[in-house]
Amino acid sequence: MINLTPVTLDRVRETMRTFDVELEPLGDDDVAAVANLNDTAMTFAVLGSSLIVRGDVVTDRTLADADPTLHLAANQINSVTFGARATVAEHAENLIVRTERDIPIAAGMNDEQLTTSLRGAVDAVLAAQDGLRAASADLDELRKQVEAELDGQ
Amino acid sequence: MTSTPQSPIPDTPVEPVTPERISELLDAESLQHRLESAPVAAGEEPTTLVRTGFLNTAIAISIDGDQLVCDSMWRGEVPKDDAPKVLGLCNAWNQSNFMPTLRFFENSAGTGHLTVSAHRQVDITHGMSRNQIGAFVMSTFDGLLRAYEFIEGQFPELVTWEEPTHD
Repeated sequence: MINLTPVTLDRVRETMRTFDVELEPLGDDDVAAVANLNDTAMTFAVLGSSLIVRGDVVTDRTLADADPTLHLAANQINSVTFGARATVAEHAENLIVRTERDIPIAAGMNDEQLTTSLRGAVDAVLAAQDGLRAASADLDELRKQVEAELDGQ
Repeated sequence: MTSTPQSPIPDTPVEPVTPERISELLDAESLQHRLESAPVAAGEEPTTLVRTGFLNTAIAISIDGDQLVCDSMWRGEVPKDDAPKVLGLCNAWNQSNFMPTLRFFENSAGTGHLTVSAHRQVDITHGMSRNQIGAFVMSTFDGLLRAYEFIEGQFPELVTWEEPTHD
């Protein structure tokens, strides 16, 4: 028996309950549901051939700061295998650090595949947020050192 | 790709993912490829990569622990001075497309330049069916080509190879 069944938002919510996480449906079209985990606004969305697991953290920086630190940190995260990728969302007043992982669902999934993929995606999305914070702190530090050296010349 | 997981071909059971199964899929899709042993540290199990590609990109598919990883490099060589532009483009792509992930790194080959790379991975802890492997690989290839088309649109001067003509 092959037993691969379509991945629906209901199945995603059911699976997240086994990790003691209750997802709140977003609207009533069964596309997306949200939860707050480790101060990260998590979204789970079933979009055609992919299930997206996304974490958003609003920063205190704006695009007008013209500071590439977050973008550089995101490229650093994306260049190592974190299991999730990072982007800087620029649509709001403050820049948002977004980490996400897509899970291919076009051919359906059995329960153990969905459980392991979801757990891995959530862990990776949260780890990438931590990684991005660390990488941007390192870059800020580096810039301060360079500025101090330039001032001392 | 539709949201209903229905395929005209009956699927196979979920089984461990191997380079050979990837190779069978690429054969079925008539995509040229080769299996290659990847260098590993002494005492480690040798791993096998599946190498393939298109005119504008080299692609490597590998099994890394519990992940099947599809990694690729764009053929164009971006001058280092264009780092701010390519940084913005990668972020723009990643913001509006959930896959593949675009990133870039410094390449020390030749006089030194930036290489754009696109990447996607999937969890294979519990194995995959043939249709699952096929859906992952083919949708990833489609994504890689769309991502590089986006980059080429922004750096037309870097497309130094000849595009095939469709008369």
